[in-house]
Amino acid sequence: MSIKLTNVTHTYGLGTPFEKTALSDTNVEIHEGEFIGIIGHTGSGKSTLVQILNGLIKPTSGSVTVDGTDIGKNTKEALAVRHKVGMVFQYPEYQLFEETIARDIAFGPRNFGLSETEVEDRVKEAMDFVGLDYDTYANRSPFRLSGGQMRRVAIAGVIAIHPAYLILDEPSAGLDPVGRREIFSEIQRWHKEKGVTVILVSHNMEDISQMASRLLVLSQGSIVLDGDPLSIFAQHGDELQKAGVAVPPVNGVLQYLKGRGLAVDDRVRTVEQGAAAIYDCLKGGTGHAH
Amino acid sequence: MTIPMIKTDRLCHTYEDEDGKVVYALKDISLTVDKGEFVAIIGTNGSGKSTLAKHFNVLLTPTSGTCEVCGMRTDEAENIWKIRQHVGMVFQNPDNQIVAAIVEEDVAFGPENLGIPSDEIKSRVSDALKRVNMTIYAKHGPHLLSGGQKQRIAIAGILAMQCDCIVLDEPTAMLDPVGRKEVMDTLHQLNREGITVIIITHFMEEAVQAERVVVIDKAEVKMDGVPRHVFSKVKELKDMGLDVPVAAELAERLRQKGIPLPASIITEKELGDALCQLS
Repeated sequence: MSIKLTNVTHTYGLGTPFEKTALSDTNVEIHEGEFIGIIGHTGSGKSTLVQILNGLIKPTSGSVTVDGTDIGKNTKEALAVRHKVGMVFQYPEYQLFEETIARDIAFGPRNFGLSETEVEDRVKEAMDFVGLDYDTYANRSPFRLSGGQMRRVAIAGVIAIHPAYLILDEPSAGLDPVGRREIFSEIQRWHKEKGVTVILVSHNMEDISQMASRLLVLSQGSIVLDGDPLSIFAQHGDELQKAGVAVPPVNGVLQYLKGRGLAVDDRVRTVEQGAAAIYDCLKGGTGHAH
Repeated sequence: MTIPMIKTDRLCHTYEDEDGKVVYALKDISLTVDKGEFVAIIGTNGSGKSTLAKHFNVLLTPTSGTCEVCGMRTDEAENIWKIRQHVGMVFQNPDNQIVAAIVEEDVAFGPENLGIPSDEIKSRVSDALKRVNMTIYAKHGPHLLSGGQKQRIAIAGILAMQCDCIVLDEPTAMLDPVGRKEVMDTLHQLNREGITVIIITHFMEEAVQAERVVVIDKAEVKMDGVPRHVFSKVKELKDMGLDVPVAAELAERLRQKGIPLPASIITEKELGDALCQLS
């Protein structure tokens, strides 16, 4: 079970003076159960890639298969597998539209032809998942909520369709640290409990480093790095810089300290681990490498 | 004594919730920002920081207390347009604040509405674009620009109105690291030229670069001081649900483990200096 891109190229405005290849000859396979982080500079092709992954854009050449079915074809099977891929866009709270929170969340499952009882179960489950009490919030207007709560409703709407693959484009932009942690702990729980494959696009390197099992770095329409986030952050600083992205802040500080001659291990995912690494270095008596 | 850019005195902003209960979005805010300052306002979502910023160019007026801009009270209707010629606002989403199909026309929108003669507008626009380093994009369509470039166009629009204070509400939240740096570099440059900058941000790396940091929590000002003073209070900030710069947090965690590090560390260089002295 996987999403597989074979020789995928996408060019916008083909045959016009504004012709621009956003993704060129890309081959990648995303396996069931992975937690993928995607990073890259604005214009690197990230958004094009994720929209191709869920069939919103058909590539100008190459093929995309979800669980073995080619989603580029106009068949019933293609439509069915596309339903397995859920996408949460940037600032999803702007896409809320219904009069009540429950009806907004129900929109997806209802369109997928589920019975009303099933739809209601899905709505309850999704609201529970994002931490909104059903009895309190179901009949309220989504537009009276705070930004963070609105975003949860929007994410619940995608969760309610039970995607096997969940794509999130900058889900934490504009949220404070607490809001960010809440949303991500929910996503991580969904990933672990349901075995859902998560594809996370983010400028926040810290989030990627803490959660992703695999990192894809895009630059100028190509995947330039693909591997374990810790190794990429530790060993490919130059390539990252060339791609216009930075290592997570804590790794940046540790690498700076390394440059100052402190023999600290910079392969860490959190600030807590970073402090432990400095402590070990001081206590190990290795202190200065020179 | 010079008149402050912005002065609020026991400013409150209240609204009624769904049950008719009075809620304070801002409570007793007394704050003075002098001309030429570079102030960062931080706080969690819902703390009231955006509500406060909207008082600075009269998108909102206090429900009690006062807000003055260059000595003019914001609750006196005849002052509104004069105040808005001093204070310009930039919002989070660059796509929501561009109005024209060509960059230079977008920058000209503000001065055109002020009834400025067209020769004067031309020189203001070209000057404004130069100051944000976007001259070569003057004839471009704004939709082809990056997020950081769009925000710089928004800033140019404010400069073309000859505002002397820019208030920015999370201007970099939607930008990548390169765009973020472009915007911050531009703001520092303008501040050196004398423009007062007030920036609301969730990025502590940006707040550290300010001259002064104001922390808003639950509708009130909880801290106000130089970054070194504010960010050394790691525990208080974390309790409010805020982040601190990574170097400050690393230093705090090491102090808890018994490593004797000064409380004033907020940058990686200071951390490096202190650690090198230890070992």
